[in-house]
Amino acid sequence: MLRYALRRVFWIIPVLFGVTIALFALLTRIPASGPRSAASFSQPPLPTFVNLRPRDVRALSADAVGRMVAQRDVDEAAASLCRLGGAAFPFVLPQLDSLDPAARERVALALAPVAARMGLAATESLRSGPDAVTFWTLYWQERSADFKPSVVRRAVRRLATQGSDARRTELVELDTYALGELMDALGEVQTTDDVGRVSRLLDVASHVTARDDTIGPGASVPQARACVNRWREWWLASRVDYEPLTGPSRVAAMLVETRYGHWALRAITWKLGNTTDGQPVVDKLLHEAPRTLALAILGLFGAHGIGLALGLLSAWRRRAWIGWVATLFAVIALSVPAPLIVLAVARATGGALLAGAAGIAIAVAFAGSPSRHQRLAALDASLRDVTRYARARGVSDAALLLRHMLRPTVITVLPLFVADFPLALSCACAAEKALGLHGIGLAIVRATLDHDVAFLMAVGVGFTGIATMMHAATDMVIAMMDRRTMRHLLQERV
Amino acid sequence: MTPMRFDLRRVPACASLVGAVMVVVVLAGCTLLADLVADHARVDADASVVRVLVRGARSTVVVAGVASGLSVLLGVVMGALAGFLGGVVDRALTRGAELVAAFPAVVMVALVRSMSPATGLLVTGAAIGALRCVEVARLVRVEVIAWRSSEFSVGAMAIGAPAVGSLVRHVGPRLAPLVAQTVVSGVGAVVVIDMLVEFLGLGADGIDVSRSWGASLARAVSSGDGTAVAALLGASIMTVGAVQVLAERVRERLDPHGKRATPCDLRG
Repeated sequence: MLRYALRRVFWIIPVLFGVTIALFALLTRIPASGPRSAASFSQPPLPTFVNLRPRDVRALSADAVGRMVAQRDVDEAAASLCRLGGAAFPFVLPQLDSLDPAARERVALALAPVAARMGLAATESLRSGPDAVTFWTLYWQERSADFKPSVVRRAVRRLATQGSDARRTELVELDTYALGELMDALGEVQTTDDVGRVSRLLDVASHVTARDDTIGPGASVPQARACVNRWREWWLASRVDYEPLTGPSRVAAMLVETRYGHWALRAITWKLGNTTDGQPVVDKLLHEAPRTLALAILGLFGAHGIGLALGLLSAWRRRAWIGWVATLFAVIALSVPAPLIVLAVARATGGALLAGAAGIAIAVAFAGSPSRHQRLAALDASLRDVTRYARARGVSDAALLLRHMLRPTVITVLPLFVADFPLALSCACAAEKALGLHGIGLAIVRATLDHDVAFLMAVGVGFTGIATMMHAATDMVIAMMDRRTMRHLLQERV
Repeated sequence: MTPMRFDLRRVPACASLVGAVMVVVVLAGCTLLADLVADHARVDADASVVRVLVRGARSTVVVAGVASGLSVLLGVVMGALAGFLGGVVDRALTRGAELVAAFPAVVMVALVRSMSPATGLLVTGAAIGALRCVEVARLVRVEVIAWRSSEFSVGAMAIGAPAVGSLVRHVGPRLAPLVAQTVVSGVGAVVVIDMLVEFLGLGADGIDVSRSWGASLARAVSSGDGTAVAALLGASIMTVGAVQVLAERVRERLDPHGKRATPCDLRG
């Protein structure tokens, strides 16, 4: 038994991994409609699970230059080069001489806005092709030595330690080439000193990427932390646009540079990601999910308690009034939706003990199915020879019910406990909405409407973990109640 | 001439027959009636409830049929395979069941429905069927495992009886009532899930809520329309009750103990 429990616990990790893949496949097939969906799936070219040809800054810049040479989508290619900025210099500028003169001028002119962004020259001064070519040729001859990781790392460290205009200018002149080091240097934000540090770093990042997301003066630690999180999320999706993939990183990118890979990185790095309102998903789940889960699970316990009692009584006194009442109750419980029962119970209790009313309503709503299954199993048990023999030998009614009818039949009904769990969760969500209770229900509904993949994935992973434990627990309880099933059920020898 | 005597034991059979005929009539006639009643509803406000009942009956029967059929088919096959073969198959099917439990059922139905809102009825039925097949599979799995562990099964194997034949002969009749009962639950679940989807605001845009009892019920509750709530609840209870009678009849017909004894014997 213990070995089985341990085995199930160890199996949870691969199970959750498989579940995330299946859930992600389902969620990504749903057409985007909400405002969040655009943010969630902002990289339509990315494949879902495997990216056989991951594109990095080297490929993107080569593609842009190729299009400019072929005079195909020139404006779009120029915009792409401008966005790639300094990160593309090591791949574009050394090749300028090898291009034909007209293409060389087009590429050099396309990079003119980058020179303005770096504060090296005004765009107006690079209006003519020959001037632009001359400027960039000289620039690369003089400054190519600066485009080394060690140089950038040192410049970023200096700005992080102490800000000054000279240090900021030094990084601005490296443009997007410095982004990787800037993001790595963000670190944790816990004190006001950290706020100043990340503020200086993100000011440069904002300048070179034209992303209007900076930390204003007087920002608090949480505000700065939220801003840093937004930048990290952006960097996760855009990193390969500014960094080349080499060696093992290219192989890893085949899995990482996918929509699932991005989600997995977010999940690992930032506790399953952030919700649409910027709150960490894990924090929200831990804060709100226990109430909903408690409501659903306690409701199911109540339902099975009621169901077992009614099922047993209706099988024992099949033709008596209690049997008909139990049948009527089951039919009503099966056909009346839980929210109606919630509202009725809440009205009956005068609005007091709302959570209790919701729990009672869920218990009543789900008692129908176990009561009927218990009745079937108990009828079957009552007709067994052993039961009839015990009756003939004068065994008391109570002993008959508990020993010969309840114990062997509970194992038939127990699997329903887990099978009803998803529907009980739905009813708990509805009860929360109907009675205005706090819980995860409304957040799940909102995430479903917004197609908030991060939140829905987290909910799926969390609930799957709980369902896995419940499956294991019911198997063990069944094996304990009928030890003959232990070998098959737990794959163990008795 | 021998006078005809009405046997009370025939009540369930008669009720199930009437129920089955009602289902067929509703299914066949609703298509014609829906348009007629819809035209009438334009001038008579009370007819809207009738229209909802008639149109909703059609969709409820279709969705319940698809859901129940799928859940029984998948559930029995999955549960029997998991229980009979055990090992990797059991583990794989159990993991599948855990995946289905990953979301609240309503969210799963809403997500699947939003994938193709045009085919709402069938997709809804298929989604509910896929969700409910776990219930059938779990019940069947335990039943099959209990059979494999029973003395008579071990004895049958020991004298060389084929395992599959023994499974079908001994477990089949025991599963039939269980499956029939699951169908009863499934019909109720269709109305419940439909209502929950609408109640939680997860219904897809552009879908006519009058096509579904559950969705109409949610609308009626939010608008405080007591007549519609009573009518829809009554229709739902009657439908589930009719299927319950049918299921009871199936159980009695397929009772592996035969008619030699009834549970009343326990009371002497």
